[in-house]
Amino acid sequence: MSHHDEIPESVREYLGHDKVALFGKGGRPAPPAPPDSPARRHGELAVREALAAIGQRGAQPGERPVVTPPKPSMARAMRANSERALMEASMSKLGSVPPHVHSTAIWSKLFVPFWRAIPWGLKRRILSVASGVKGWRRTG
Amino acid sequence: MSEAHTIVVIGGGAAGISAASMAKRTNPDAQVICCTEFEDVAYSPCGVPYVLGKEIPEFERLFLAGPEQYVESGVDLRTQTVVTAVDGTNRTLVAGGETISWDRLVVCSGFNYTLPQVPGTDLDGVTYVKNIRRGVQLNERLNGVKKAVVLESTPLGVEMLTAFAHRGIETHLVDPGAWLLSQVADPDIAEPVQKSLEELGCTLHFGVDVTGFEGANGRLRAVATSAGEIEADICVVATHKEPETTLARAMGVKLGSTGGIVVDESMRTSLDGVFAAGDCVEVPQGMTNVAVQGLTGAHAMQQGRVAGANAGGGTRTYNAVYVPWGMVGGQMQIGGASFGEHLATAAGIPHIVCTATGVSRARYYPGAQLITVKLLAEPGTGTLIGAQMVGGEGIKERADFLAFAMKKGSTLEDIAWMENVYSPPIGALYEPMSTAAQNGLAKL
Repeated sequence: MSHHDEIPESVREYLGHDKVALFGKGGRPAPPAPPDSPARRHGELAVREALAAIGQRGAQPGERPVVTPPKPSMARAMRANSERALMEASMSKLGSVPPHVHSTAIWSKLFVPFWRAIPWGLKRRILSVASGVKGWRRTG
Repeated sequence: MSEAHTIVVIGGGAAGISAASMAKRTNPDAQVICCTEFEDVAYSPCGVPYVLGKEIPEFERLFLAGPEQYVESGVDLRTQTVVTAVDGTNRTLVAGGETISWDRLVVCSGFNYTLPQVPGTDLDGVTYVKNIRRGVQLNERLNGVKKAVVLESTPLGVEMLTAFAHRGIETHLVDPGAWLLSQVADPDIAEPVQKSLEELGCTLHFGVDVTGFEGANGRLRAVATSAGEIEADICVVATHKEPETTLARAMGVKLGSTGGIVVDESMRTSLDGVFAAGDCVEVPQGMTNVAVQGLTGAHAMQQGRVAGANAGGGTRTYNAVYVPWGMVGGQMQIGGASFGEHLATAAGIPHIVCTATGVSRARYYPGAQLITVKLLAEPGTGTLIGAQMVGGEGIKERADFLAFAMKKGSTLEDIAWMENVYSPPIGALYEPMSTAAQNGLAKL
């Protein structure tokens, strides 16, 4: 008898339930780190070690999970600039406080009105092509 | 299917650990190695803000498993093991100084926060919330904090505002957007959450950008903004989730328009034998086919399952996403699916908007809460294209339902005539989603 007898193994296999994370009785979710469980023991160890490491010299994992984005490709730069300008324009229209505008005049004064003038059918095709997504079935 | 080979997973977050487990389940004969730079796996990082806010009493509760349980299930789990190099041609990588050969690779390298391009980011007190051990340390530090700034009202930013308010810390939000959660939410939907945060004591600065971090003796003293200086003992940087693609780029894997790794619906990358999942990838939004990145832990886990199964020889597929989302800000719940009015306006998608405010339980039942539902539909056909909601309870289930309804092509007519649960303690006679759709039918 396993912990998962109430759910047929074939179903668990298909759904890909994680044998470890869902280790409750009858395949139900386990309670949060019950006393004396491996999860609880590991949690206690993790907290102890983290507290002991306060003030230690040297970088610790996750201490500075921050990055300057790499130099963008043309596609990414175009998307980022156009998206930002369109979002700022929408915020200016819908919000009671103006956003802090980062876009340059080319994007806010030229691109935004140009994009608004394009009919939706054409816009939709542009969005789909420009996003670079290929080989996915449409579900909607 | 049961071809014996070595599958290496880079990353031990929601995507990585799901991928490793699934790869082993799909191909029990394979050697599955999972490398993570962090000390822990199988816990909920999403729970960290709630321990910091003291809603969850202890960090230990966030753990779902110990590492030995993965070892028992056959996964070779290597914590505190940084993968420093990957060779996609010869199919090797260097992890913790050891060279490992792989037949299938699953990249689940996650994200980093975008570094604000201003002076002073290296000051002590400019802080990030990511893994649990640094969360434990931050929790101790917060005992001595009187004043805090949260940078940007992303979902994490809003959770941290709420957490700091619960701890009685004087908290300011600095956000260049025009309202709370302006990357996803509409202003009218965000407004009750803003009010709730203000009632808890938070001061919200919108349309304001950070210009620098001011320090004294290496420690943060204040956050400089376009609207003046705000004194702070600590600043939580909750900026955009930038996909971590250093190794993928070095291998020559194709990146997309978000900067995330391009994958197909099997979660295969452009490089043969290499899969990817989680915050480092981009996937198409179902309504527009536009690539999106930096979704939720639930998306990461499902993507990891698909990537892991296929790396193990399976034939699973992942679908385009409609992104149901929901969270608590202050004492309000907010959520939605697919587009809101703001995003639809920005993208130039034609839409009609219909709104209704209802109650979460029978109006006479104690604890009944108001819920406002806003639906967006395509003019003419009434096909649902988005939804946003705010209220005291019952947001998550509606967001899930509406995302599924959109995936299936539902219309306002469908929602207007939907069946709904009516039971005084859990649901009112009039379902607000249905009422909103009925209001919208007149606009078609």
